[in-house]
Amino acid sequence: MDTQTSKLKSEKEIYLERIADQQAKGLRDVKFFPRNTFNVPEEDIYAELNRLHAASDLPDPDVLGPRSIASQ
Amino acid sequence: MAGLDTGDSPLEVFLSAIDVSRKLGRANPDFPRNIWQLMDMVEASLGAISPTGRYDIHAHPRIYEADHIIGTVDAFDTEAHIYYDLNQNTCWRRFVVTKEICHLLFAPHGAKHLASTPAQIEQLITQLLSGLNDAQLFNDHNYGTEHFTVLMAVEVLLPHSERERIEHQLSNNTDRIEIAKYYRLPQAMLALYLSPSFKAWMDIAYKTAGPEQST
Repeated sequence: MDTQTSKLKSEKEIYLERIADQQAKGLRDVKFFPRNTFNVPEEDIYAELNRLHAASDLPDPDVLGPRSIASQ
Repeated sequence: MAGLDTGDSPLEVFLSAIDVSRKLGRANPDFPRNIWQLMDMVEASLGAISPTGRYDIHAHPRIYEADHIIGTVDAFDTEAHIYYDLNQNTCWRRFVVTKEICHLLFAPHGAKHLASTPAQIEQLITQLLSGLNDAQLFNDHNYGTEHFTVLMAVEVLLPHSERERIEHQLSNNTDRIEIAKYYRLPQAMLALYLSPSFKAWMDIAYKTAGPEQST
């Protein structure tokens, strides 16, 4: 196993550990919206998902304005 | 608003989409559709079958150098978390959130097609890598939830009932991009909406659904 494979495999492990943790908290379903997954190493997908879950929420007023106003 | 399962036919999916879209239209007939109102509606529907009598949907717009996955949803018994790429344009962000909300309607409590264990997630990602991309979404007749929820999201954001108005605009040389901007729908999804096959499916679904009942 070369260094890169080892590193990429750890991304997969990190993500699947998160899923196991979430499952213990009652996770019952996960779905993805893929944009481009042709000829992509699966480890790249896991790395991207790890980046997603490590990131913080940011405001999105274009799509999600103030709910109290939008829902009236 | 009934929950769906993977065994449902495309017609049943379209009927469910029409139901959601009509309820949304009655709550607010204006376009572009209000995503919060869609969330409210689905939360109320899922709350009715939630063990706590409540269901909460949380949206998480994030920047994460997205190249391959532009959205994902984690569903629990009483809440769901929708994560999506903030670097997509407004129309795509709206579409991603709508599509992931539609996924929740496919996973009512007790549904059998869940993908929640590490092994199931690994299998799901393997399936994604095997070629479930946008090009195949509309050509593969082996429908799955990915296909269904794309079709549902199109109907929710741009209902078939708007078709006459859109065709009139197109006949007056209105650019498609202007129409897409008005409804805040990705151009690719407007192209799907305008495809003869999608129109044919929705003609059948609307005929089956019958005229909208006034409330």
